[in-house]
Amino acid sequence: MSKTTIPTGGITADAINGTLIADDAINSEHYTDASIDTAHIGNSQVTSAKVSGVGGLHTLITSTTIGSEGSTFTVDNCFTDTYNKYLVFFEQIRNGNDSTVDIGLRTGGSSGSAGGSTLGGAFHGYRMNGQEMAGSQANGATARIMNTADNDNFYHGYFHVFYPTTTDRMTSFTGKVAFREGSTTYAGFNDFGYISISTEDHTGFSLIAGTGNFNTTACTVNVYGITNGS
Amino acid sequence: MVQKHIIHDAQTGKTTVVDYTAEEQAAYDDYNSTAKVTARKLEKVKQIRLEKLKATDWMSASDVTMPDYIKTWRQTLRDLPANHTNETAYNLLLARDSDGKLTHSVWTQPTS
Repeated sequence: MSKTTIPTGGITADAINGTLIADDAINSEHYTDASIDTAHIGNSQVTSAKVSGVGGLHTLITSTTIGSEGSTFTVDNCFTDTYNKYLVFFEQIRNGNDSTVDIGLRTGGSSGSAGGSTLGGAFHGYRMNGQEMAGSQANGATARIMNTADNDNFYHGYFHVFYPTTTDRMTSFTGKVAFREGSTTYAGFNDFGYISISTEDHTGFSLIAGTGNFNTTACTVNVYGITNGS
Repeated sequence: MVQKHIIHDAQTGKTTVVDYTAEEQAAYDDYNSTAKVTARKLEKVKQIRLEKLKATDWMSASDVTMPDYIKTWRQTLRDLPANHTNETAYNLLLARDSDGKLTHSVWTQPTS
């Protein structure tokens, strides 16, 4: 016969362990206010769905450096259904002199491959000698953001990616880069914007140098997912 | 030399390096072929030439008399593509000092 009335004084301190507590039985009213500390929240357990009152929240998805010599640098598996807006920073980049720099979209997640020839759009900029820089793309696999970059000077830039994995909406990306031009050594900037006219599920992107390799000493790429906040 | 493609997986954090595919390498080699590189350098020469010509266009206005030495210099600029026809010549025309200034004398506007 089970006992139904055991006074508190009849229970030894710390005698009730986990096996004597039913699953999903302890309500939050039993927690001491402000008692849940950082150590009791698992890594990556606070998702955007659990956050409110935070406007324009940027969540770092990946931060990586270009540690090996290469002419193309790809980040796969960074665009998922969790977000429909992303911000990508590319920092401390250098490449072969007079190199073009393009962006391409990727598909296939971890087994990524280049997206189709679906990109259309343009870049347009101005440099310090008062001349414009411009170019365009129609149905291309890659999108040009710089016609010619100087190899002696780091450049930095960013772009936003919209709805990359929503197949009923076209992926688009738009951004800006300031740089010193390789052919003239004039400094300037380019704005760029491209749309993928397809229903591809884009899961990553590539930065592509037309000439030479990206430098391996400092190039960094950070990808952030963006929520609407509330 | 085969170009390399660096691939970072954001979920696993792993980075791998693979060779360019034959198609990627062909596109890279085509873009960096001597013919294409030379053509791009000629375009740069023409671009700089256009800037220099524009800077003295005002002297051709009807109420201004363009000095002969400017006329001669402008003709020299116009003749650059005809008189410079290979990559070595374009390299000399496009050479710059450490401040980024063009060093070839043809770009310097004469004063007399």
